[in-house]
Amino acid sequence: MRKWCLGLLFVVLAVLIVYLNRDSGEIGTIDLHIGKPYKDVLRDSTFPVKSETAMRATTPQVEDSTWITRPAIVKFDDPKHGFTLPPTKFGAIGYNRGKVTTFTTSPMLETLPFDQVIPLFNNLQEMLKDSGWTLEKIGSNALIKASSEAEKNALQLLLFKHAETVIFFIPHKYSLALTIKCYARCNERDVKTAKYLIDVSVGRDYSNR
Amino acid sequence: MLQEELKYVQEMLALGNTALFLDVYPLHRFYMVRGYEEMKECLAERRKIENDVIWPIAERVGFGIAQREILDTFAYIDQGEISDSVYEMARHEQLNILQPALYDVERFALLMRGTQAGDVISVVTGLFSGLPEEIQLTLASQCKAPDTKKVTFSRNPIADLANKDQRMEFVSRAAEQFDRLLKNPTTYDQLRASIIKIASGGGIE
Repeated sequence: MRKWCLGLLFVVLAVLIVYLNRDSGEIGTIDLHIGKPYKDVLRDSTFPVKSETAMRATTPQVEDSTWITRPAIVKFDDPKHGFTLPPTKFGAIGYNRGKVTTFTTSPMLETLPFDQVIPLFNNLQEMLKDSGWTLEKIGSNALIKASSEAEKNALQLLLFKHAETVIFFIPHKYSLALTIKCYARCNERDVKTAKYLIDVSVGRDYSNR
Repeated sequence: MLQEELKYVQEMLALGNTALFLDVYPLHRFYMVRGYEEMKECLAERRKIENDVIWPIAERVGFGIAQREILDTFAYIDQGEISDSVYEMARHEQLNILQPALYDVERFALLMRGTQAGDVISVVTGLFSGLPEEIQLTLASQCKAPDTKKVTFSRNPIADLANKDQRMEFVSRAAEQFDRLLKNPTTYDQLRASIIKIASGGGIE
């Protein structure tokens, strides 16, 4: 009788563990902007921010960073300059003194070939422009153009040498680096086999403009 | 087989350390010589010298990408907020350099997952004695430091060094302990002597 009870208990526990670890299929959102309090990020996000947050070993402990290792959608929820990024499974949000200071992510679930990464990159540039982000006037900073065949060919060659970055900003508020880089099989210099990643990195604006 | 794995882990850790140094040292040097205003202007241009610098992890990590964590780090340094800058830089190192360079490499991540269980641990402290040792960071020039000058990764047997937030907490404990050592006049002098020893090519006892 006792064995039977223990067996039943084991089955119930196993079912419970499977149930609690089930994948709901929905991708959680992380709702943030630079300067937003951590407790508000917790309140507004459906992604399990708290369980993915590393704490600093201070007394008392304070939150340091949230690490994205499973699919999530980052929503930059500034009322005037907000945007929503495509799903990601890589990135981190940094906090200092209880507020978001930086976040860096690759807004894609896998590396993409050139002909698929370019439309995504163009969409991100357009989305930022539409949300009121402008180009910071530093160095040779300019939009990356890859519409015509000639522009695409030039960009392919460039990306085999180094990453390309466009810096957007909202004066006195935010700064954003949008980067496209070759990530896999780059040494072969073959655009048919190379895979690419996009990085979005956001922080405060430190420009004097 | 174990020897091969030990060698592989040691090489990967050395590669990670080298890459971190090659990323972080020139940034600090630039800040020291040219200041923060010029750093803001030039950071995004750094990527263009990829082919002119030694960058051993080019296959996995693009050189000189202008992540905002870097700007934040030096903004804090410029404001005298050193402790805040340490955390921002640590996050940059873990997220933008070490994760893609080491921990996203399947073989390495797999080996590091088992590390606390004692399989490949010895290599972390450079000992091939076969005796399992825990992962620790030594805050001195000695490989075997006293308890006050070392930080243990975890006492948990299933702790995972390939896990980003577990690593970040390890880094945080090390930073806080280093800070405490610097604030005590006796240990400050000892640390200073250790750093001078390392800088002059000595130390590593």
